[in-house]
Amino acid sequence: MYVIVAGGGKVGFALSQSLLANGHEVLCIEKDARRCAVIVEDLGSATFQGDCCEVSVLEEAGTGRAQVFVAVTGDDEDNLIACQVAKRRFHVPRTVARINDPKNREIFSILGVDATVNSTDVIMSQIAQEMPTHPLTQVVSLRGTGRELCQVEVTERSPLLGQSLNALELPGESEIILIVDQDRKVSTPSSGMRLHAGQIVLAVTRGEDEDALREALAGVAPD
Amino acid sequence: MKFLIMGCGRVGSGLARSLTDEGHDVTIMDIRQEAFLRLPTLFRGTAIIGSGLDLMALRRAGVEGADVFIAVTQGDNRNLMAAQVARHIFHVPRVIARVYDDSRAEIFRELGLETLSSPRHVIGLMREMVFGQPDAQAETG
Amino acid sequence: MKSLRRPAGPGAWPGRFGALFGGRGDLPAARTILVPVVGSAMDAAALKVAGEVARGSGGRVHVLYIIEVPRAVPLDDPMDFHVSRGERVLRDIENGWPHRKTRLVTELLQARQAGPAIVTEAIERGADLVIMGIDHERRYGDYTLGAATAHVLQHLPLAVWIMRAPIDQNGTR
Repeated sequence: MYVIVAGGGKVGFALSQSLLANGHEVLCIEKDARRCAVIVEDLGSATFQGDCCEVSVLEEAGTGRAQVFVAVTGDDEDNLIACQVAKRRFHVPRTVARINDPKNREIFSILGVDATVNSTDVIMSQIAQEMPTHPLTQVVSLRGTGRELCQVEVTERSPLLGQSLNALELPGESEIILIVDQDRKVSTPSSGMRLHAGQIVLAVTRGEDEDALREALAGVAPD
Repeated sequence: MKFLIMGCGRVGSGLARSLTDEGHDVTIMDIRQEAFLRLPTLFRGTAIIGSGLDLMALRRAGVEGADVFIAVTQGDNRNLMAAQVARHIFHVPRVIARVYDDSRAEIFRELGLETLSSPRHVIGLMREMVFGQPDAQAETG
Repeated sequence: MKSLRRPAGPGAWPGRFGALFGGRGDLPAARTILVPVVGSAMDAAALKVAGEVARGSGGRVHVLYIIEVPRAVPLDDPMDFHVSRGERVLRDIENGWPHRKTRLVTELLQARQAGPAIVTEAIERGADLVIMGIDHERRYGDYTLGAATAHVLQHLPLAVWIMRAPIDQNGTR
């Protein structure tokens, strides 16, 4: 698969390395000549110097035959425009943008970027794994559905504790899709299962129901 | 008419001034306070510190009631993103973005934005100064 | 492309270079000489020198023709026009090879950029000398060293000999 990575900073460089290691054809486009000189030592001819929003640069990079275009510069507006140019002008089937400001997630999705990765959320999910007390973490935003996949840890404070999983009344159209027990056993919800403190729940929910879902499963945190 | 201008550089401030002189309702935004020094001392419009990429700041600047949104910051991508937000999220009837890169301007023109590629216009005007009348090159801009 | 045969340190160079020149007569003892060719007049000059060195050392000459594949197409694109041109250049070199006892190996390679490809090939083929024939190039009204040559000079940890054509006073670009 041909993947273009726009932006050769820490994120773009590491992403390019891992894509190459997985056997993909990769081209990492980086604007800054000095940064290019650094990453070329490792990425070799998978490095390309140029402005990833410039049509002529994307043309030369062979964007027309890329299956995936990932924009991971430090500027949200550059990531958005690069993805839009890749999509509109070069018809790349899948565009992915890094979002530095979480507030931009909705804008990107309305303006046609296929998927967004929010570095804040990724870092939060890393923190959440370190500190199991973090109540709710967004894992992935599901484009076009207005929904997101999130992870919640069930606590003693949950008002739904002990209830049967298929009888749970969750806020809005929230739905539990996977449960990880304390002994790390993973299962899908079935009628015999009950909600226990310590379980990690993966659920799909609307953004506006996020808080209510957290309260239902993790309870209200004591002040 | 109600105008919202993003970017208080030479173009933004000059435009804001001429529009207020004609009696239009003008709000101008910039992320740097010192940019507003370009406005006349007795500017009759509203100047607001904030980014045109920030939905809250745009609301504060009254984007919801604007008839025209004009993005004239130094960054092509900032202008194009803000213009799309004004057009597709706030449904401002007329949205104009200044873009230096002509090929990028063209792509977003196809996406329903009014884009103005300033190098192309300057080239056209210079040719006109030399050759006396608008020629084919300038016309296409 | 981490170098495989880089000498131990700067101190290793004099000895190595001395060994290079320890061959018969005044010529170095390089066993494998890589000559990148492009189908220009300077190819012949580089090959002539490479042939003499290999004859003296009992080594071989490895000729490399690189097709730079634009990114708009996959690396293994047929590139018919360029392949047939490259094959013709290599065939002519084989047919005109004057040395009976000195081995000549030719290779056609598709790469994104010639410079890094020459470096990789030289190391993989175990070359100990690279000889390149280049033209005097001008760009934007000023002298320029071609990108491939500059890359090889900067990154290849082996001896590199550059042979440049006389300056063509009219040959500006």
